[in-house]
Amino acid sequence: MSDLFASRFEYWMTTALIVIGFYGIVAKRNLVKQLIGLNIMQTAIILLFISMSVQPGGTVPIIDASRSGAIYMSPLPHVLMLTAIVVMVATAGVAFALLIRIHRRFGTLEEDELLERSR
Amino acid sequence: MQPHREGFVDAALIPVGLVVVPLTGALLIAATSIGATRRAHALTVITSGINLAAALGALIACSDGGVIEYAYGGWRPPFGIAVRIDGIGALIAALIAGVALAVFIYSPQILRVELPRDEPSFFAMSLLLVAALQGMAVTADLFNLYVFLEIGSLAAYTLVAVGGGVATLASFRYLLIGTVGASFYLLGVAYLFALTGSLNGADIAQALMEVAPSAALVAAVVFLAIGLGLKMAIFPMHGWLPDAYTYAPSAASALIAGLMTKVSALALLRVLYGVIQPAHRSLLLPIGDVIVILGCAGIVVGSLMAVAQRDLKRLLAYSSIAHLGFIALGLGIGNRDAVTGAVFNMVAHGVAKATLFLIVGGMTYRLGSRSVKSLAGLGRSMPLSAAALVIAAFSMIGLPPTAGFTAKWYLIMGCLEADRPDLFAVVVASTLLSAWYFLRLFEAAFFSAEDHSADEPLRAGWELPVSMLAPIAAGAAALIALGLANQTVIVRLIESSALVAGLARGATP
Repeated sequence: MSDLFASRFEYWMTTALIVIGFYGIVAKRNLVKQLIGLNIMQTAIILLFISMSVQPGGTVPIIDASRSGAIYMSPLPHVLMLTAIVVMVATAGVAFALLIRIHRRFGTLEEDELLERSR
Repeated sequence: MQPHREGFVDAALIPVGLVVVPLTGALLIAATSIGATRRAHALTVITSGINLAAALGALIACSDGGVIEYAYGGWRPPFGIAVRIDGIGALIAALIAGVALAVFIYSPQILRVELPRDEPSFFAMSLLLVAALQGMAVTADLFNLYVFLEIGSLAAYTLVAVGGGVATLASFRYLLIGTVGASFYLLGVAYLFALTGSLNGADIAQALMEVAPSAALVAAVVFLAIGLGLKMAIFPMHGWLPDAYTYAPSAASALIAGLMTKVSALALLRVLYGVIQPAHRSLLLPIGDVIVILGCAGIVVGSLMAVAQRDLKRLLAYSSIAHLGFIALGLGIGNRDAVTGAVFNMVAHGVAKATLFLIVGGMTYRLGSRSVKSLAGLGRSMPLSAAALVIAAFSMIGLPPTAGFTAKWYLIMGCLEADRPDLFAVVVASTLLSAWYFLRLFEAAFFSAEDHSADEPLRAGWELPVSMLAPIAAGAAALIALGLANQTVIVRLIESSALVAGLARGATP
């Protein structure tokens, strides 16, 4: 069991982060905390992708003819996650804009109070 | 890709144009026309007109099993990003372009009332939404799909939020749930990428032939299905939909309700039957069963909730949940007729629901109310809109000669071929329920003892302005045309595409 944990360490970490993030979205009653949960979840998935690109002993993926037989990290997940980070930032931006609007209109970001005031 | 020239325009560039044209329009409006409503509107109509022409070109090129492929920058998959449309993709692209053009022609009058001074931003955001939806319809790359999914969703969140007040709250919930959905989808893509080392749909399907069924593959399919299920509001993941549709501005409701969920359904179809099925048919069976059960639950819950609604927009939102249940049901059964019915229902429901939201928008514009009660006397005060309401509602119920009938017919055939009379019973029961709530609307509109037609309307005139009436009429006409030409559409576009042609007929999906 401890072997399984050690050899798949990164997967356990990302799983834990996804669960924490999901818990935040579902269980927290404050909209900002829900948004933080969402961001944790997105970050976990980004970390999962990045961890897949790792090669033990690998180096930066720039082909160098002088070093034959070198092991390279996979560049593709990094590129993908650069895009995913942009998506995440854009989502967070829109979410914060919405939160500011909500706070101006209702004066609170607590879900229970919002339910009362939006009736 | 093979050079594939037709006429003087390279047909291979059509799918690229479908995305780039509205995207350019959105950027142009944002850069030049903020504060200049008329110019923004002109740009919007022009770009979406070009978009529709491109989509019709794709329809012609992709009929009878044609496929258009294009690899960006000449980098072929698996190294580059490719776009690929077949008959089904072209059909959905035409749906997106058609509904978008109708909504854009319709919207200036009502935007002047609902969003004064914000019209250019609205047009820019809507075009961004259209670009993203077209991107989802044409892309062959699973990660590219994620990016378009999120661009479209972000545009949709803002379009809901401009309704102001409660709409911002509805939009925030939509954002939370939608982003969770996209995250689950991305997680599924991560698993597939780890298993196969590729992101191109066809390439993954090829590589999966070599991969033994494993827990990781099951996890991938489950995460992809949950993610897209959240986006297409399959029961019980539909919580965001009623509020978002109800509080959004009328034009935005029509655009989002008509298109957003359908394109996610198309993505689910491609993932299940284009990527996973060819190699791992048996693995898909239990997942298909779950989708069938959730689809049925959505049909029943959506129909029952719709019966209880007094606000027309909310009623339409719940009937959307029922119809997305139909689509999920067809995708879950997975034989050829059921999937054909599901695809046809994406188009039929997309057009009908957009038309209905436009009519409700027209009522809000002219009568100042959108409750079921305010329908009283609509047959006299707005006779043409009321006639269009009847046609669109016929399609929603599934009565001939409208498109909805064909969709339901194929779905029922699929249920019977799969030897599932219980599902047939669910479809019939929900048809009766939807007949109930739409006939209630007819009763109010044409036979009500109360009559508001003599009341002074909010805005004078015999009917709606022509620019609002024409898109509504076009929607109703399209529903009848689709219903009458159903065999052409089904044989030449849906069944001839490799995705559906590869599915088995009969009991074993």
